[in-house]
Amino acid sequence: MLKDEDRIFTNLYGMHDRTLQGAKKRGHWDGTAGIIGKGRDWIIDEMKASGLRGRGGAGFPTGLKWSFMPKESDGRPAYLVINADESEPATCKDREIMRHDPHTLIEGALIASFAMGAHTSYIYIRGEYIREREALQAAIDEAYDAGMIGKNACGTGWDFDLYLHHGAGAYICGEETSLLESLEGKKGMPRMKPPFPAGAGLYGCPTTVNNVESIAVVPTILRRGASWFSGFGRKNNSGTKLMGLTGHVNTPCVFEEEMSLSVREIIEKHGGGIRGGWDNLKAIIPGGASCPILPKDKLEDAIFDFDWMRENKSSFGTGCMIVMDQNTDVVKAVWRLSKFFKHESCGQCTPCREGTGWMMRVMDRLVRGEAEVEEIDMLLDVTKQVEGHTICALGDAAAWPIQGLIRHFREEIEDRIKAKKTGRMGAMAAE
Amino acid sequence: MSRRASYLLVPVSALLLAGCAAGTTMSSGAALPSGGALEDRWERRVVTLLVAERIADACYGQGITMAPSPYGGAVHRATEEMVAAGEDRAALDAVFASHDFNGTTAAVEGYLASRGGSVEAPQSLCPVGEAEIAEGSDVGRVLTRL
Repeated sequence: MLKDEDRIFTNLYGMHDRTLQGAKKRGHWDGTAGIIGKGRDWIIDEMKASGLRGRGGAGFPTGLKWSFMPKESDGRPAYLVINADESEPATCKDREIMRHDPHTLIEGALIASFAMGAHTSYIYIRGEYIREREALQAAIDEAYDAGMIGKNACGTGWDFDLYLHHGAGAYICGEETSLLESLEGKKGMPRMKPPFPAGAGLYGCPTTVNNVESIAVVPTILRRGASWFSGFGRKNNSGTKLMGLTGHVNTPCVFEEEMSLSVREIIEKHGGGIRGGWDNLKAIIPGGASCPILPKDKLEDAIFDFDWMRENKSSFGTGCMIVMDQNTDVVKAVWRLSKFFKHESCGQCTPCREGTGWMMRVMDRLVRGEAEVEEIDMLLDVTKQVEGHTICALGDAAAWPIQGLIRHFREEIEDRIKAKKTGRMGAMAAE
Repeated sequence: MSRRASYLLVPVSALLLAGCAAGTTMSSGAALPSGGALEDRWERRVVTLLVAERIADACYGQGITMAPSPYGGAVHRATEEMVAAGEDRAALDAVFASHDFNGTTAAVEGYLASRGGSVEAPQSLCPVGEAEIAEGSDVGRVLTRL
């Protein structure tokens, strides 16, 4: 288990003072001017060396992403946009940063913005996060009043403004380009890429969009050194990470842990074990609703990091795991996710707009067993028609849980259809 | 405690809360209830904070929000404020462990109802918030205007 002295987030549970004074006591805002004084190239090189991969789900290397920003301005301003639209079902890690440890994010925003030549940064916070917005805005105001941000931030000579923008509660606005559209005051619909945001993002200017956690860990990485951070986890999966456990564990929680521990160790140490014991485990969804489900037989030696999950046809995602025990109707659980994605599809792309509804309706019949066995393959085929054929990843996100279900629980679906036909089982009505 | 029994608490708790403005002391910026048993004082503070949170949840569009505080969450914040004011943390933890939160919820709803507001009608909470801020009541001091 991660030692206390290696924790980046020292007030994750809000037990300590979250104000600037409290944050400073816990080691934040320490030597910020000195870090900035080392220059843009040093910061980006350190971030690359740390091996930090984006904490929002995609896992793209953060330092590399920053290096895509123009070194010299062509006259357009550059922006850092922080994605705080944490809307993935079961993921609630960034909210703990924003409501209990907001200064980690503000200090990170200053340093990251400086590294990318951005004098302005926006935090786009999820509409439902009301207490978090209050805590974060209070911390921003404090930082302005103390001269940590604003004109000549921290006495560095760098002018930096930070704005908090409150979203209106749409899942799709967590996708980086629809977030930018929404921030510009338009309907939250994804943009075609290219151009990528680093070339033409917010207001057509160079922009980097990073997750809250990715930015909040930056100051500590730079203070303690890239090698300290990269010392945790396997190669290419380095660092510590905020993770979450929800569902059928004894103690659901959000916690900071090093990468690449085993799934079992994480569940048992932090979640207090599976309800009814390890053998009562049925499956997990590793990192948010869009990640393909993994059954217990895959999890005995599973490693909780980006590469292991990808090699096993799932995804690490946000690192916030949904745990399901043997009592779970896994078909119905995935149907519920289908309903979510159908509801949240912005409707811009036909395969997603039509496909998510189609998939949900077939899943609805599979839950009740009122389908033909052949329809399972038909459903799988539809998921393939949606996957990769949309502007953003919502189509993929809607397809993957169903693909995972069919890959690992096909027998359970078939049994239900057969049982229904032979009258052995009462129909299980979907909600 | 039964649901019926918790309803019976409403008028008493609402009166306690309504009356606590007169009997408060300031400590670290917090208006903490004075007088009565530790559990009652803690409950009154929690109810005050929860009433303010209900109002702030509904009235951001009207420019009403929670005033900054070093701690989040009504229960945690009330506890930390009282510890800072010299109360015994272990005793407060014991109060929390044995507390009936159904009664607290009923007290919050009862207080709002006594001021003409209802969580079922979020817009009705905004005039309550405006009035609390204007009066400088305990609830009003926890809130602020943008």
